[in-house]
Amino acid sequence: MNSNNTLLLRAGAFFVVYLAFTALFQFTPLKHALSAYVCGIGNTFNSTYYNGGEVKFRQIVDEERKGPRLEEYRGFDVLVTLKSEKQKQIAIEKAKKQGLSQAQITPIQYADSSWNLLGIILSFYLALLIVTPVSIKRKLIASIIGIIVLSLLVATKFWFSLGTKYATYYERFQAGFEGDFAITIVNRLHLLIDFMGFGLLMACLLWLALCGSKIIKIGE
Amino acid sequence: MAKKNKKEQRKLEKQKAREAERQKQQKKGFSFSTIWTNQTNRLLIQFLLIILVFYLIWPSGIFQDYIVAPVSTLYAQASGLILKVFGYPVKAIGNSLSERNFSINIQNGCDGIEGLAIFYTAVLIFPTSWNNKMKGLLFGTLFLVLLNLFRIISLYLFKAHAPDLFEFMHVSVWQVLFIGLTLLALFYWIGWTNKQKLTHE
Repeated sequence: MNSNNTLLLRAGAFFVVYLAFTALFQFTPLKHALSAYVCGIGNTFNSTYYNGGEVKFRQIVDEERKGPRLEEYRGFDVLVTLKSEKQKQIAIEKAKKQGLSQAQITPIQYADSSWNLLGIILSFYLALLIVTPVSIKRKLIASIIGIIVLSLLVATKFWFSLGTKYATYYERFQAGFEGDFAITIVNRLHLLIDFMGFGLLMACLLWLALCGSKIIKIGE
Repeated sequence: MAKKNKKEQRKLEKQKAREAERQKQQKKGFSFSTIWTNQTNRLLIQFLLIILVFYLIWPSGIFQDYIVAPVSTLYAQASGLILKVFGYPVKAIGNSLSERNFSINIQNGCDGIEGLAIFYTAVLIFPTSWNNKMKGLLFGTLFLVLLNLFRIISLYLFKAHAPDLFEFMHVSVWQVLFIGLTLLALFYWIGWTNKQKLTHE
């Protein structure tokens, strides 16, 4: 960086750009695009889970935010539904024994926020890139790499979060991880990877890896 | 004497080679090889390894009980004291600040420990003198502690006067601002160490 004033100006610009992204993702159709994209990531990478888990991700539509669901879905826009092969098999066997023609299973559902999962980190990363004094070409390449890496981070977040959910309802699903040690590891890593600071730090490191050599002068 | 000269010559040659490599990369523009060959990225890998160790230790019971809990309590006490000076009827109990109608807890992430860990790691691996590092650690600690105190007080004020904005300020603004300002402080310090080096030369 040339001087402290330039640094301050860029920091100010960064915050303004970040807030602009925040407004875009909260008040424009980009909000729906973001939740659709996050559902897409989930359905692409996490539609099946270790040991027979079956997962579906979909957007929460406005009509669903009524009555008792109003509070439950406040601030959330992604609905995750968990089932499992084993759960289905058990339900079918039970129905056969009872002489029923249809089997019924009860999935587990939980809501998540695409803004918390990806929006904040992506806005942070893109705002950093926009105010960094590097060429447009580098910014574009770094944006593409960033979106890919951060999307993979979201898929990983989902994976760990599903791991903890399947562990909680293991009796019902008989899918996911079973042993205490594996569950402890999954829980620990889930706490870490789900932590916003960790995601922001990863975005920072990615930004420095792709643009850092142009902005930090070491040992000069 | 001759040995010393040889050493200095080798050091100069290494510096020249590094500079030539850097200039070559700058001419080439962006390429994937630049990710792995320059010094910045080597530092980033060192940083990543150390900070991963921190993140693995962080959730452990010992770290939470002996570092996070007392630090959070200290922040709660200090913020409570400042808010009381400004006439807020606040009670600081453990790691929480409470008023008649609401209370806020200072939990993981709001204790500023992560920001300090990032700053400390970056300062310790940055290639500069120990004197500069110590000054950096002192400056960083002071800056980040005051910043976190300001964050807690501002969040309390949002909860008291604009509760609808609290969640937005807590999650979307302050987390980003805190990491961003930690980065800014780091760049300031790096700029300062470079200036120091130029003055000495």
